[in-house]
Amino acid sequence: MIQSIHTFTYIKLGSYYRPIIPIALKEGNEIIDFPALVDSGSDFNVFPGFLADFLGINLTQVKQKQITGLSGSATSYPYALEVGIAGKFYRAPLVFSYDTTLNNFGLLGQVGFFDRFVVEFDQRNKVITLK
Amino acid sequence: MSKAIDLTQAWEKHKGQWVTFDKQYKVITADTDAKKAYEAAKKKGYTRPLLFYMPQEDLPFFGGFSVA
Repeated sequence: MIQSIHTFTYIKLGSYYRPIIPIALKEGNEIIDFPALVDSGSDFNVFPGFLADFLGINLTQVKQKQITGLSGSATSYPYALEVGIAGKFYRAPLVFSYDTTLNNFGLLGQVGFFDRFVVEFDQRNKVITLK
Repeated sequence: MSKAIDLTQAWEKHKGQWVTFDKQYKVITADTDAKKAYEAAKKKGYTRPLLFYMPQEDLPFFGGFSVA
């Protein structure tokens, strides 16, 4: 459990304010910063498959799993790597998916995110706090 | 008073493109190809640009994914 407190502001894109925070994915010496929606409705952390390519991860050796959401089901590739939030890294499971509806940003879900932080949403002030 | 980071201006200018931002959310590069946008930012000297997709449309998002 990471003990420190960190606050992020929501991101507004067009009409919508969303609790999107910048996170880092790290595999070996490769690292990429990418936005992720803090999404308590997601069971797992989900990230676009092309990020695995950026990180030099070969998903052809990974056993596929189906994931399901409002837009239907999609093929995913379970993996574990270092996730960085506010400069601190921890190893966490996630799934990569090439489903194009998941291209815009990652999803931070129950396993590997909500089970590591106390998450507070301040909708009025558009602030999210991780403890 | 909202404290949100408003990326609407960048979105209006770069709809359908991948954008890289610096730490202050200033646009560094934009391209329809994520890799090209990212590599261009690296070439400009940004070691860790934030890669961000600007959607074509202003649509609500319904999240939530579970493993079947």
